[in-house]
Amino acid sequence: MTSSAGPITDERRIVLEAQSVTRQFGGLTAVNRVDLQLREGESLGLIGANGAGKTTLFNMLSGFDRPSEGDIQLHGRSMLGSSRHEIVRSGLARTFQIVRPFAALTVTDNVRVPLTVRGLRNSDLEIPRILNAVGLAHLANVPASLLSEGDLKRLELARALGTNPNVLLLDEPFAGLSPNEIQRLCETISALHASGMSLLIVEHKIGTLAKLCQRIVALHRGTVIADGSPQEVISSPQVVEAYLGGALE
Amino acid sequence: MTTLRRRVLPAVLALALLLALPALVGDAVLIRVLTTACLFAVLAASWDLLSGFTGQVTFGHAAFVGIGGYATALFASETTANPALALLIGPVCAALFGLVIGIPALRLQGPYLALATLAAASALYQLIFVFKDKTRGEDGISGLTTLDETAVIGDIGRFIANILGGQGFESARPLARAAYTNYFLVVLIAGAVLLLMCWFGYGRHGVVLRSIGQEETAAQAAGVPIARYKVAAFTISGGCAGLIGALMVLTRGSASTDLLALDLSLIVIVMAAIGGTGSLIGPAGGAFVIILLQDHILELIPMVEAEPAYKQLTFALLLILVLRFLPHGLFGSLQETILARKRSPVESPLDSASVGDSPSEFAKEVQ
Repeated sequence: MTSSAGPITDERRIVLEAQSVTRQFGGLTAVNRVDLQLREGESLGLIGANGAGKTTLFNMLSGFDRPSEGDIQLHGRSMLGSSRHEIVRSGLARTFQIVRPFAALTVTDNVRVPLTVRGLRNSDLEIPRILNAVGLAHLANVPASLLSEGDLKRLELARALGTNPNVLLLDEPFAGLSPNEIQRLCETISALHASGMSLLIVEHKIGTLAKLCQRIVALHRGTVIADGSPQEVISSPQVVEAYLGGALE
Repeated sequence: MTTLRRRVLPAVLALALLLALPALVGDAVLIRVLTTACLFAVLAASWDLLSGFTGQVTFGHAAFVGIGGYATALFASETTANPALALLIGPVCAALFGLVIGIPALRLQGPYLALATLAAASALYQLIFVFKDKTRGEDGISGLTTLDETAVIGDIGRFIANILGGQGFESARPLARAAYTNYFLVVLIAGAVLLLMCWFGYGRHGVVLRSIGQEETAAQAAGVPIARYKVAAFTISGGCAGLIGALMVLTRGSASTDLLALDLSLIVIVMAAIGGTGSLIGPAGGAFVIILLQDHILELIPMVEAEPAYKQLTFALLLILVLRFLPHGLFGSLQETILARKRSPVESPLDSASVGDSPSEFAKEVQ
């Protein structure tokens, strides 16, 4: 395994951590004793072939699934006893690979949902700020059902930002997008990272991920096979063999 | 919020029209039909707040009506207090029942929840016979003071009827005058409840309720405490339905098993489906369509008058046609058409990303 290198990851506080996490479905072990840390202000990529356990790990990290063994800690406290809304309130937000808009609601009302449950009475001031950040301001009053795939991905991001997160988990944010849309979404995510937000991004497009992330973790058959800088992981023989089948992007 | 104004405005206009109608109609029979329509309008809207908004489809809405109705009847028959006080007691009892049933209902979804609520209503129906020394079983509780006869509330009703009742009220016999008085009281109380429901349903928390009905998992990811909102929906919806149960009892002066009947639960769903679920106003409009058809319009057709089964056939046909051709219901589809025409043409969503990107600004603000 490639060791996590570079001074950037050493000093910063761990905000999200999987401690020897295992997830079994009957006789199948989807994730096997995985350790993973996301540090404050870090942008971490998670890659792996289909069936590698990325989504299972992602769901556990976001509180949407519970590990069979091990612990997941957010800001140094175990998440396992917390409900999903408590986890969100603690500052962790996620998006979905297959977008899940509130289709009958307008873009504005989609973002209003997390603001309302946060107790923000004057959400009308906050909503334009968030929509501007993700580039959806001009579609504020359009029902989500009329949005394109790219805009729906932005809406997912806007809704997650509405929870006021300091840790943001993005599940394949670039899937199904055109190169132009990917470029624009990259800029948005980079800006969020620049603002100090800790990011964990699951993505198949390793080239795009390498531009966004300081560190990448590669999973194969439920275990970590590489953990390091994008260049280190991309050049890891185990990753090339297991994930890329010998051909890099 | 524009949505709130857009939804409440038709309700306010409808309320004004209903208050003006008796002076124009002058027919006590039609006034009674309209009273029933008003009651069912709020009942269908209360079902919608629970099932159309949060997606917790219930087949046992009559349970709330029955509890509100029987609590009112028992209060009126067993105590000497002003029966109008039951307008508070009925909804509170039904809301508490909503709270009690809403908690275990959290573990159920889809058809299982629908069957569980149906079973709850059936169990309550049977309880009427278990406690028949109090409820008088099949005979029901009758001879109760009606709303128009109560002190204060009845006086207010008569005062309004004198002003707005027109020639029909002035020339009516005592029974018909009572119908007018009850009508105005029901319009005002039911109208106020419907407006409150619209205010809540299309306000900030209503948006959260609708998010649960549309994508529960995404709502969780947005930080929505699902259980709290679902139980709140059961409680509020139950309380509103309980108030309707109380009004039903107080307008007819009796309580009987039909308040808890399966037919009542089902007709409310049909009203909501025909009007258009998820809009509050749609189900309320659907209730007017069904009640006016059932109790007035179809009565004018001799063939239907001779054979009441034609009514059921008409409703079944109407429901099939609406579900097939207007899946958002009569009022939901009408509203969509109006909104689509009003909406300024937006550029193709595919072009959308060409404008408005300003992530750096957001980054600055966050910093």
